[in-house]
Amino acid sequence: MSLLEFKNVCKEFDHKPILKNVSFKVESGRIVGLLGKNGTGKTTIIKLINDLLTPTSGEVLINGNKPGIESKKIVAYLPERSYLDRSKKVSQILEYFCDFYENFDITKARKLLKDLGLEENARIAKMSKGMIEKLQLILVMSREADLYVLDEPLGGVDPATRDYILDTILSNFKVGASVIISTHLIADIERILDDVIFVDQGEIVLVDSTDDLREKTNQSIDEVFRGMFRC
Amino acid sequence: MKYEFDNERPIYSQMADLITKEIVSGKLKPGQKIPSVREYALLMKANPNTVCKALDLLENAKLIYTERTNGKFVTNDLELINSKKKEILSTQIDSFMDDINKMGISKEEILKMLMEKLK
Amino acid sequence: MLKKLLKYDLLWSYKLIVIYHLLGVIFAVVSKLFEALPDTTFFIVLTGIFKGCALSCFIPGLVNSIIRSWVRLINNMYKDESHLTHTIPVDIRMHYLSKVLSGIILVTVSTLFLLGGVALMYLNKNSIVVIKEYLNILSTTMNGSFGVLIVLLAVVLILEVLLITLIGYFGIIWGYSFNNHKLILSIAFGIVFHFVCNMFTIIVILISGLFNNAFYKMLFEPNAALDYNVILMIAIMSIVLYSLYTILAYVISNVKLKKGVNID
Repeated sequence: MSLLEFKNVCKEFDHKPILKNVSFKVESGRIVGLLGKNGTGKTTIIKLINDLLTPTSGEVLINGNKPGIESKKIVAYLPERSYLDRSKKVSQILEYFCDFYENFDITKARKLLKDLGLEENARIAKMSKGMIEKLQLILVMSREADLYVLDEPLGGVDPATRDYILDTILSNFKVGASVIISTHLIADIERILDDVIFVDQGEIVLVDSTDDLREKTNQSIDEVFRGMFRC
Repeated sequence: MKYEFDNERPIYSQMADLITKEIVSGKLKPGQKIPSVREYALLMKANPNTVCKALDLLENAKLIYTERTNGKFVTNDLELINSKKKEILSTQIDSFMDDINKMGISKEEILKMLMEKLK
Repeated sequence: MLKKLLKYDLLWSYKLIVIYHLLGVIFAVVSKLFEALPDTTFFIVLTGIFKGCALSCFIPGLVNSIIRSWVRLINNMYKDESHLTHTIPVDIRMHYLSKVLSGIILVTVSTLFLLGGVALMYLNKNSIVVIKEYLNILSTTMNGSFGVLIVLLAVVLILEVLLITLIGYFGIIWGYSFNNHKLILSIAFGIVFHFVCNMFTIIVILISGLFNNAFYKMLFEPNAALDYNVILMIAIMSIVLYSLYTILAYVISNVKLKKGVNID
């Protein structure tokens, strides 16, 4: 049984197909890049994993179960937007995560916040967008999850922040867990990926391991991607 | 030392090459304990799976060995290290010779230049 | 789990409403103090002003309780925050139950503050005597206890605001299951539900009128006298119907939620 499996998943909005017959598997212990241009269905795939959408047809299975309470216990999800209550303080958010996630490691979260120089009595409303993004990453990576699903964690950040984000992901995910990272910025991230899934116009166009792909093509993943989707 | 990889070749083989070089150069001494997978991953800013794969490669080549609970160590087999060194040297010289031959430089010239460089 | 959810829902909503309640109570108490002073025109006017202030805290307090419960549902379950709400390991129906309970608590508390405030400000030795006399007359002429009726009417009032709150939830849950025009659809669904409820009420009353003579007389005969039993019956009928609609709104919303959400 795979950690995550999409079986012939279709998703329509107002009879317009967004995902067409998407099937793929993710096994445990892999870092997987969900790669594609903007608006090709990456976020829809991620929302389906997290029960924020339901498929029009087909099945999404996490450890063999449909998304639900059991899957939410083991999936840590980082959305591309800010999902925190802006009227709260950092300490209250930590309390919320402790209240609802059994696998949330508050000691680790506190340490990471301290390393970042973020005060626990700071209010979300007064924090910059970049700071909120880092806070959310810390919250998500402080969970001992089996599957981390990160939606565009590198979207529009400067190189220093990009390094911080990649470091935080690499040094904090639970041993043996899998990480799915969606992005259109492939060059920045490809060296940490085990596998790639290319998405285009709602379809999976390529699934392969990065090592095999490099060996086959003698190109970087970024070059392969550019070659496939030349405008 | 900074670890840099290019994206055209599998990262794990580049990683194995780098660690091999550290072993033959003596930076990692025979019998010395090497960093754990997690430590290497942080050090190289790389995926732990990739590190595993690289270390497997080295272990298959007998350049490192695992002590069940203590971690991984550099081999004590000096002969093996030396032969690996020769292997690397020979491949380097091969590729050097390839380039040089294409330019039609004579053996005497090469020798002369090399002797001067090595002084 | 429900307890934890309720803690967050109630805190969020009550944070603002508590201001209305506090100010209302302060104004009501102050008006009461001025009332105790000698009856000069100045103090009478001042008392009136404070009573007005208190009412303009309690009434918006109630209205805002309803609106804030709706806003909480939209923000927490359908806006940006929903990405966190729906990814904590809690059944969606539990989320909704927490919203419903926190809404009921908030709205009931606000209604009680309003009723209590009015009682505090307008009941004094004189008015109690007057009201008692008036009630006695009514009770004897109508052949029944009017005190019971007043309690029943208070219950009807609370049920009415609860129904409005729940219908709002119902509208939001159905409206936000669509891809576009979510808010407008929410309002439309709410209004339609409310309209259907009212039509049903009228039909029930008409049918009851056909079978009950006293009821029929009061409904359809000009200058019919008020009949205590009929009023009692209407009050009880309202309580039953409002409870029924409230439960119906809750159940239908739950059925919709069970099919999953549609977050964009």
